[in-house]
Amino acid sequence: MLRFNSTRSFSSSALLKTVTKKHDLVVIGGGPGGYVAAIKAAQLGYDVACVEKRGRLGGTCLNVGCIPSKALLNNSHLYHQMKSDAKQRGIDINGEVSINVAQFQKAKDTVVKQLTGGIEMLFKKNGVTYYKGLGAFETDKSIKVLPVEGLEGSVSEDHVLEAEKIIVATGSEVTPFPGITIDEERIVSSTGALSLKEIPKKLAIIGGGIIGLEMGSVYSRLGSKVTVIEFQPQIGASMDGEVAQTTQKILKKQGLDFKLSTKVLSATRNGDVVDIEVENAKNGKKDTIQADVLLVAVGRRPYIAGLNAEKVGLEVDKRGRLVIDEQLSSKYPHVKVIGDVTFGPMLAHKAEEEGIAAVEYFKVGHGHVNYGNIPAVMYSHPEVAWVGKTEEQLKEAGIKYKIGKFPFIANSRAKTNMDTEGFVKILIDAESERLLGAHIIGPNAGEMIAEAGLALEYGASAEDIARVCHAHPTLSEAFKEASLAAFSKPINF
Amino acid sequence: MFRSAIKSRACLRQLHQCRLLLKAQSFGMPAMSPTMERGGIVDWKFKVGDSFSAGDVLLEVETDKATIDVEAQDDGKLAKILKDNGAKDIPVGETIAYLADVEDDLATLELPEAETGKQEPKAEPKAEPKANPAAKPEAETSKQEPRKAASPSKGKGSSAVPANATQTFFPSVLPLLEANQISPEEALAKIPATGPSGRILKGDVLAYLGKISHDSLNKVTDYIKSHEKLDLTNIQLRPPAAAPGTDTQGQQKPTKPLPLVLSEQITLRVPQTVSYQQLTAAVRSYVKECTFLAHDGPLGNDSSDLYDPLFEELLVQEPRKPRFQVTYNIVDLEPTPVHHSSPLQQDIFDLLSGPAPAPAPAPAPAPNSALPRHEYALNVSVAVDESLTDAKQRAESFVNQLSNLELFN
Repeated sequence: MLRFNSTRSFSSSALLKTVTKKHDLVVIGGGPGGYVAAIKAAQLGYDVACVEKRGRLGGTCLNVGCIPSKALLNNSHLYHQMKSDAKQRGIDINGEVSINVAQFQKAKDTVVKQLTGGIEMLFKKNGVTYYKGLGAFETDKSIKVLPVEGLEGSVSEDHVLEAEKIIVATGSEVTPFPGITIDEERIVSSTGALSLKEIPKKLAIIGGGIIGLEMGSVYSRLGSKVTVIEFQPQIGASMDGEVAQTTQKILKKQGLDFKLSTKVLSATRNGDVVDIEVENAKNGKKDTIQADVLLVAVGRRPYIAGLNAEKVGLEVDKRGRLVIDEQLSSKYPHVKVIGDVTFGPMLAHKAEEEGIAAVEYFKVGHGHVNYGNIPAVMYSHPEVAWVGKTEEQLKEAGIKYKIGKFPFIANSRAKTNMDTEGFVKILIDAESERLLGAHIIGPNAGEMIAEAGLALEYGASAEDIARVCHAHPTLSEAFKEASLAAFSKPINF
Repeated sequence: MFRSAIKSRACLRQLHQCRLLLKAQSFGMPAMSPTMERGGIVDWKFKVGDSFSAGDVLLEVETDKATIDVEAQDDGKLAKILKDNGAKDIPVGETIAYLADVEDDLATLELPEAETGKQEPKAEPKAEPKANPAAKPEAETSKQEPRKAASPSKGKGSSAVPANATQTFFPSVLPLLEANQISPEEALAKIPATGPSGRILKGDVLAYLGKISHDSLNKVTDYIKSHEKLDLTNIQLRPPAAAPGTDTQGQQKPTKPLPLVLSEQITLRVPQTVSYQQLTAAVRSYVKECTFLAHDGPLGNDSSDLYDPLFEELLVQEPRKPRFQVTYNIVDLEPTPVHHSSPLQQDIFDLLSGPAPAPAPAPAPAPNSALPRHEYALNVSVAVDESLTDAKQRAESFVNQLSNLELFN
C-alpha cells in the first residue's frame, strides 16, 4: 500500500517536471524559412524539431500574408472582370453578378487550411518533430518550449530541447503606427484587412507599399472608394521609378486615389468611422479624411519577443534584427538566423533560400543565397514584378546601362487576352550587355520574372535571352523582345 | 520489361567500371565551395590499403572558412596518399591521393600521372595533346598583340577567373567565337571568365577581342558581385538597456524585477497670495504637461547622420503605453492656520496622500524674492515601466522638466 502510494506520487511529480528531449537541430519558427529549413535538414539526415507557437505552420506568409491575400486578389479580379469586362468579350450575364462576402472569405480560409495542413503532412513524411509551443532560448544549446494557453495541440508541459545546432526563424510582425491603435475592426493591420466582414464604402490606407496597394486593389474591385496615403513622393517601395509611376497611373485609372508626400498626423475611431488627420509634407496644408476602415500598412519589424535571444548573448541591432555574419551565423556558429528576423528584404522566398543555405552550411560548410537576385512581386492587376537593379540604383552606382523596353500592347497574346497594359523593361550593362535588372508591369509579370532571375543567376547578356526560343503566342515573348531591344532592335515593335 | 532493361544496363555499367579500375583513380583536392581555390588536409581518416565504403568520411579538408568532412562517393580502397596530414595550400583539382577498387591488388596496380589542379586538364589535352598547359598559351598570347590585353593577370581587382572547362557556351558566346575564328578550346584556355562558376560571358569575349574596355567589365562585375552578399557593414547594436526589456517580455514574467522608481523632492516657493488650492491645480496641470512632453518628445541623439526620425517613430514599442506612472504630493513646509482654514482639501488625492513624510530641511528663502513667499515641498515618485526600452530615459527627462518648475513668478 505504502509502496503504491510512493510510486504514484513519484510519477505525478515527474509530470510536473520539464521534459527533456534531444535533437540534432532545432528550428524556432515554422514559417516559410523555418519549415523549409526543417524539411531540408531532415532530408539531409538530421534529427530535426520545429517549434511554432501559432498553432498552424506556414508563418505570416501562409496564415495572414501572401497566400490569403492572393486568394482575395484572384477572386476579386474575377468578379471585377465579370462585372466590367464580360460584355465586350461577348459574354452576356443574365442576372446579377454579386459578391458573397462570407463565401469569398471562406474560399480563402479553405486554401489557407489546406496549405498549412499540407506542411504538417510534409513534416510527418520527412520525420520532422513538431512542437506546438513558445520556443525560447534557455542556453545557446537548449530551447525551452512552453505551452501556449488555449492552443489546440500545444505541448502540455515545459519541454527542453537540447540541440547542437539551432536555426532561428521567428519572422516579423506588423509595425504599428505611432499614435494609432489598431483594433482590427475599423483600424486594421494587414491581418485584419484580410478578413473584413463587410466591404467598406470608404477605405483609407496608410502606406503605398506592396501590402497597401494589393489590399487597395482588392477592395477597390469590390466597390470600396480607396485612398492611399503615402509619406514618400512615390508609391511601390523599392520599385523602379518609371515602373512605380506607371503603376500609379494604372491604379488611378482603376479608381484608387493617391495622396503622396502626405504625413498622417492622427487617426481616431469615432463609432463606425475613422477620422484621419493628414498634412501635406510639402506645403504643410492640413486635411481630414474620413473612412469606414483604415488600413495601417507601414511595414513590418523583426519579432523576437519571448525568444530570450539577448539573454544567451545573441546580438540585436537598433532595428531589432538579430545580427548575423555572411554564413548566417549569430555570435555562435551553431546558432544560425534566417528570414525576416535578420537582415535583408522581408520576403518569404528570401527566407526559404536562407533556410536551405543555413542547413547546407551546417551539413557541408557552404550554402548559396544570391542577394542580388531576389525577385519582388506585387499582385495587383496588372502585376508588377522586378529583380536585380533599378535605374535609380545604377545611376547612383555610376554604372552605364542600356534600356530595352517592350510594351504588352505589341504582344500578340496580351492582345488576344485584351489585357495589354504595361511593359517589360530590361536594364543591361552598356558595354558587356550583361543583364542587370528586369522590371515588368503587365499580365502575369510575377511568373515571367522567373526567367529574368535565371538569366541573372547565370550572368546572361540580353543576347542570351533573345537567342532562346520562346513559345508563340505567349506573354513571355515580350521579355524576349525587350531583351532584343536592349542590345539591338525588337522585331514586333 | 522496361525495368529489367534498365537493370541490365546498370549491371553492364558496373562491369565496365570494374574493368577500368585496373588502373587507380587519381583523387583531386575537392572544391568544397564554388569560391574555394586552395585547401589544406587536416586528417586522413583511412590508411593506405584500407577499404572504405560510399559515405565514409575519407578525410578532413580545411578551407579559409571551415573544416569540412569529405565523404567517399563509392566503395574503394586507398591506394596511395600524395599529400599527408597538415599539407596546406593545395590547389583545387591537384591530386592528393589514388583510389582503387576494393578488390584491386595494390602491389600490381598502375598509378596514373598526378594532375596539378586549376589548369583545366580535361579540356586542354584535346587542343594540345602534348600537355604543357602552363607554358604554351602564354607563348601564344605574346605572339598576338591585341589579345595579350586579355590575359587574366591584367588589371588588379579583376573579378575574372580562368574559364570553367566543363561549361556549355552561352548562345551569345558561341556565334561570337565563330565569327572571330576562336575555337572553343582556345576560348576556354585564354578567355578569363567573369560569369558565375567560371562561365565565359558575352562581355568576356568582347573584352578579349578588345571591343570593350576591361575596366568597365571589371567595374560592372565587381558591382554585381558586391551585391550578391548582404551588406553587413555598419551594424548598430541595440543599447544594452534593451536586454532586460526583452527578458521581461519573455518567460520571466513570474519573477518580476522590482520596478524602478525615481523620486525627487522639489521645493516650491510661491507668493503667499496663492492659495493651496490654486497651487495644487497648477501643479496638477504642470505634471500632466510634463508627462505628455516626456512621452512625445524626441529621444536620443537625433543629431546623428544615421538618425531617421520616421523610422525611429515606427520602431517605438507600444507607442500608446505610458512609460511611467507619476505619483506626487505637496507638503506645506510652513503650515499656518490661515491656509488650512480655507476650504482646502477638496481634492480626494490630496486628502489621501495626507501628511507627508518629514520633508527635507527648508532652504532659506531666496533673498531676491520681492513678494513674501510660502514654501511647499513637492514629493514626486515616478514608477518606470522597464519593459519598454525608452521608459527610463523618458522618465528622467520628465523629472528634469519638473525640477525646473517655477510657479507664480
